[in-house]
Amino acid sequence: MIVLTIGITCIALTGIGIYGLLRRTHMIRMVLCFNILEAAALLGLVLIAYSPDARSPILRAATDAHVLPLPHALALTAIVIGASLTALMLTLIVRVHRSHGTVLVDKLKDWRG
Amino acid sequence: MNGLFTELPVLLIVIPLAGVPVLYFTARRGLGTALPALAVILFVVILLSSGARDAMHTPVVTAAGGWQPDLGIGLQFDLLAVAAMLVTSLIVAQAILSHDETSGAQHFRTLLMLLYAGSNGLMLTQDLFNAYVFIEITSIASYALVAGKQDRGGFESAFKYVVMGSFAGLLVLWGIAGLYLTTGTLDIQSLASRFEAAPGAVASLSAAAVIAGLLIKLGQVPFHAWKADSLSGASYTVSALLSGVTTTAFFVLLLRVLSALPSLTVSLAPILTTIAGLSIITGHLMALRQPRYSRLLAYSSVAHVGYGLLAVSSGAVTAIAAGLFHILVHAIMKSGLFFLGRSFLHTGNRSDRLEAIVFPEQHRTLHVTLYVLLAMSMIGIPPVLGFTSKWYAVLETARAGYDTGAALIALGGAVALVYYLRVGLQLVHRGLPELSSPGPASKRLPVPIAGTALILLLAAFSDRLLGFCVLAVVQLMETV
Repeated sequence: MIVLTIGITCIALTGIGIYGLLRRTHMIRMVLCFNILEAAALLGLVLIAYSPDARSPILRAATDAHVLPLPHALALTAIVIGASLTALMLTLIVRVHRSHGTVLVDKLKDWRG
Repeated sequence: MNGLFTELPVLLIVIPLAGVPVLYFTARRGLGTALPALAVILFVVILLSSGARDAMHTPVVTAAGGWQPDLGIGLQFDLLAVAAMLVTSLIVAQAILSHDETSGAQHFRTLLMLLYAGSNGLMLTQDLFNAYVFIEITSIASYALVAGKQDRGGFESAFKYVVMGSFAGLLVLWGIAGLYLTTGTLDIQSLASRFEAAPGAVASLSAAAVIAGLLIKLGQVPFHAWKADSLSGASYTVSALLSGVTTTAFFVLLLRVLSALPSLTVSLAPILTTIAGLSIITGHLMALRQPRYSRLLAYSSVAHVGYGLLAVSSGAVTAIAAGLFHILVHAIMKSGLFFLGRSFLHTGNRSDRLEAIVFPEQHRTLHVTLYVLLAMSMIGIPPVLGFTSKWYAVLETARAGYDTGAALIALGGAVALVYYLRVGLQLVHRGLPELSSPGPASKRLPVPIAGTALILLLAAFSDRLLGFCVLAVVQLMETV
């Protein structure tokens, strides 16, 4: 049941993220949609590691059943990368606002090439 | 093999990475960054050359930290990495030399070193998640470099680039997660054997997501528009890096992924061929109607990467080698054209609109000669290296049974002739504009001269260079 719930959440977040990236013109909202998409990917990684009867991957005894530790390590790394990207995007938005006076992509003169 | 060579792949990433903080602090103290940056590249090239002989016999594979794949990360130093890293090192060195010692240039070199470390990692890694990390390192450095122009266009272009690049990065991450779920490994070599036994749709969709993410990074149709927007907003030097270094690194990673999934590559061949064909047509046709020099070159890059992808999707070893050879040659000649574009700025004119660009009066004949040689190479006119690389791409693609694709590559040259001729006539016939404050005379002319000399000299060794690429591809196929 929990796998199904997380799986559906994951798919729903992906849909919301992609829809938002395609439809939104406000730069901050685009960043938020990117973060939603990233959250969906991270949730997917955690879901891969999940096992109903397993404990956290800290071995207390050699026979302990534990969840896969690798996807968690991957998720941690992806969180760091996502935070860096978000910081860079927000910095660029501040600079675009200073130079263009707007954060709406459809108001930017050169946005469509 | 001694200890140093066992750790060679690690050193090729760690040395440029260590150069990042060194250059940052050197720049902050107002000291020159050109010499330390060049020293890093020289050291990397020495390591590459000394390890190449060993890699000729068998690839140097290192398990980072002593942890063997699947638990640890494998780095593979093979002929493919040698060929690609020599080309990218040359372009990075040119980029370092193309700037004067200003504070902007010093911060530029710090970011450039990060890009260099990331691209080296991309070309060496055997671990998919590690590849994702290097994709993001390379990309973040690229986004910051594009924004480094510090003007309206630069910030806007950087934002577009970061949105599209991050989406591609997430697609790769999704694909990697799916591949790990279905195969239980992130190691590219282990993936080759486990993928066949993995349950069908999820594994195939995941691998397709990784490939799609890389194709977006390479600016292939239908996700090609960002390339022109980013390159036109960036400085000429950064555009040279994006079209030379990052394109080469992503192409090498794509080759590694495709070679690990032969059955999927065969199933995806019609799709890849279609994407490549559409990229060639769209790239050249869009280049025809561009009003700006950098956008014209960017769309031309879309078409040239399409040549490489078309040759690779045919699946034949010699065709893949010809595709790789063309991508490497394209990196040298396209970056040469961008470096040459810096000379337009020395007339005091900041615009790169085709009706406004003009070479400075000083060394004008030399500038025009360099443009003609580089453009001949891009079009595929003998005797320069671009002709032979394109000739092999046409020949080997046709031999692999892709006659239409080979015809597209050949026809692409005819279209390219029109738009490069248009720029050439503009540069030859247009007089120097009346400008109130002309800029300083170009002191960085040796940079495009080096690239042009290389495509002239190496043309004499085309057969050997293609032979080296064939060996690299054979080695790649044998190790997975």
